[in-house]
Amino acid sequence: MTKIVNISTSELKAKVLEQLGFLGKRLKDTKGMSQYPAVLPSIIEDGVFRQFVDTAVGHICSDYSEYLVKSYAIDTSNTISLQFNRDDWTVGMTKMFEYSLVGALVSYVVYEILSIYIPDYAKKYLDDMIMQQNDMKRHFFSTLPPANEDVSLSNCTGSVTLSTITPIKPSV
Amino acid sequence: MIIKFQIIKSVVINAVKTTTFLKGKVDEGGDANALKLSYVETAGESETHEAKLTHLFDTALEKVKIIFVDYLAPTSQTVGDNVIYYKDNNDTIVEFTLDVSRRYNGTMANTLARLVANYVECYMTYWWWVETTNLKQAEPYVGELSMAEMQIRRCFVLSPPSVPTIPYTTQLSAKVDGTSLGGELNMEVGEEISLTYTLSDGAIDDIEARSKDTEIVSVLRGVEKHSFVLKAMNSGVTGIKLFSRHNDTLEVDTEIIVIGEQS
Repeated sequence: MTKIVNISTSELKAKVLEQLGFLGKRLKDTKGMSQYPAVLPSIIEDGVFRQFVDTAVGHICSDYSEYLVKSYAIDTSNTISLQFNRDDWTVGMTKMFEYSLVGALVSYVVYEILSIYIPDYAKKYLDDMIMQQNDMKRHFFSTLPPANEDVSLSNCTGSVTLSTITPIKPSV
Repeated sequence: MIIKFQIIKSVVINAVKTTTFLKGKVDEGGDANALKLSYVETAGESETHEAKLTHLFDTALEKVKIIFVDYLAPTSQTVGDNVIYYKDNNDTIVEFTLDVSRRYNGTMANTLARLVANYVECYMTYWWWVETTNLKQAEPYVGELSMAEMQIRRCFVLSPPSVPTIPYTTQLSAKVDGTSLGGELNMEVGEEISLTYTLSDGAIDDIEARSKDTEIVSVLRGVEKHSFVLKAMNSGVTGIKLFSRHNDTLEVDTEIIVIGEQS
């Protein structure tokens, strides 16, 4: 059984823009001009955004072998679909993993964009991404004890049946 | 003697999973970066792990079967009883049926079931560590497997041979001419009487008859089976006693009065 993690690229993009907007609004260049328009990608740069997302998924998921990530796809509604091979993944673990994955993807894309304009601030997002990748590993590779059973070794039992042997009687 | 016992697959496999889980957690505790190591060495629920565990389980069952070969005592009628099979189609319960000599100690049947489960668990854990390259972890299981095999063999301890029982009689009655002998028998001098005796149904014994005074009555074995011949020699009062040579309490005592021969 596998677990599928779905991430909408439009939501991803919104989160990236939030981060960039948050930063750009407070940054001014040496001439006192706002950096806001500079850091925000325009609509025609959507293709670049998509490239960053693809690279981010490939990079971040490289920690997981082909055996662990069964498939990666983006459908027509631009939803990223990642299929992970974990049978005993609980819902909680899957959610935590998903949040960390989204966080890491956002950090990576922001890092890529900022490293072009303002590399000093980009480093913070690289650190974030590494931290979120580590979180992902913790969520993914955590193991659960085997399920409790209501049977134990004492339910392994045995019995003996004596063979019926008719004693031979001498004729009287 | 038929020994039947069952082991439960999930109990054994869970024990192996728990062992590997604990080792994984210990590794994690020692090194926070060992998460991935812990994950790959812990026997989990993945299809690959389940398939591997089932393979080890089935192999271990065959190994155990070979241990039992030394103790099987099949006859042409029971050779088919010496089987090991899954009790149900879900592969959850494995039932062993062994036809062994009746001298084997049957009181160890429960212990045998649990020791076999333990042997299978040791075998599986040993190979799990070998195949996950944890050779150091596997090492103790080599000795444990030998010990487990020895313990299984000790369940087949021989009891002393049963003492043969001989169906000696518990009853003895004597008859003269088809009539049960009472407490007294009258004879005439020179007369010969055939005395027959009967035992419990189907029993055997060695019955003796003695005269208390052979001058008055002599006792001889009769030609027929289970019979004596009493011969009155002289007048007088005496007695005869029939007794078992194997049972001191079993006897028939009769007084005999011999009177002179009528002219």
